[in-house]
Amino acid sequence: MNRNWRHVLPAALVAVSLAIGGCANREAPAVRAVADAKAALATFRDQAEQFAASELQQVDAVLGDLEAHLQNGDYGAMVDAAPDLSMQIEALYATTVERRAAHAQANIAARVAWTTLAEDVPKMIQALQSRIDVLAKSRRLPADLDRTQFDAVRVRFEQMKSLWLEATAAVAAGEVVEAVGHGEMAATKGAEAMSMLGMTIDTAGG
Amino acid sequence: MVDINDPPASSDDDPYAQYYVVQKGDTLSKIAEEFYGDKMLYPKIFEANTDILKDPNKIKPGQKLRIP
Repeated sequence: MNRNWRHVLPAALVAVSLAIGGCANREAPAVRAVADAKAALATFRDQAEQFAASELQQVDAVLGDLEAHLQNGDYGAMVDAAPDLSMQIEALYATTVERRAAHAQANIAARVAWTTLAEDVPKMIQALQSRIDVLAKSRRLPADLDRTQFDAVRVRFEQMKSLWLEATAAVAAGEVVEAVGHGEMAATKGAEAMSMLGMTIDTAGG
Repeated sequence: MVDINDPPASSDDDPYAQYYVVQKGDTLSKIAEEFYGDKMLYPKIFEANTDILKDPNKIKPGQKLRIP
């Protein structure tokens, strides 16, 4: 992200104020201020769209007002609006940088979580699939499992597999945080299904 | 993309695998009835344990069987 606009924009807006206050040609600095504001926004607009969309919308609205004042030759209104725009662009930039950093941090944490899920969930799916396949062939079910409960297990298992497919699709698309969300839901469904079947999870790891 | 039907790369250290330790008086039929409700499904257990079982009629107390 280009930080140069931080020095350019306030100077341009001050120039507008001075020009409007004392110079005969008030249009040129006003045009330049709007152009500088647009240029400043352009340096991080794509990032702002991703991380601070509503704030960007507000800044664009103020910029739009400023352009309207310029077109109408209303330089007094420009003087009133210019400092606000300057502050809003600065705040937008700060918000964008802060949220991008938080997003990067969340991605790092999600990648760690995904590593565990990617190792565990397929094993859980295999264990459940194996048990469900055998029980489906059973003429009678175990004493602590009736047909209704077994059907409920199968529903949960199908939900688990769907969630896992969504998780793997998300991670393939680079959406690791979303993938972890789906993966954790898949693991929860799987744990429920295993518990209903009386299957145990060796939390000691071996 | 990972195929959910693909088995895990390794079954080592699998916390989700199910095991049963053979007790005195157990048979594969009895174990199958306990876990599946159907003693006729004992071959499923035998097939999952051919690395330690050679004969479905010969199991020993203390053997750790994988229960599919």
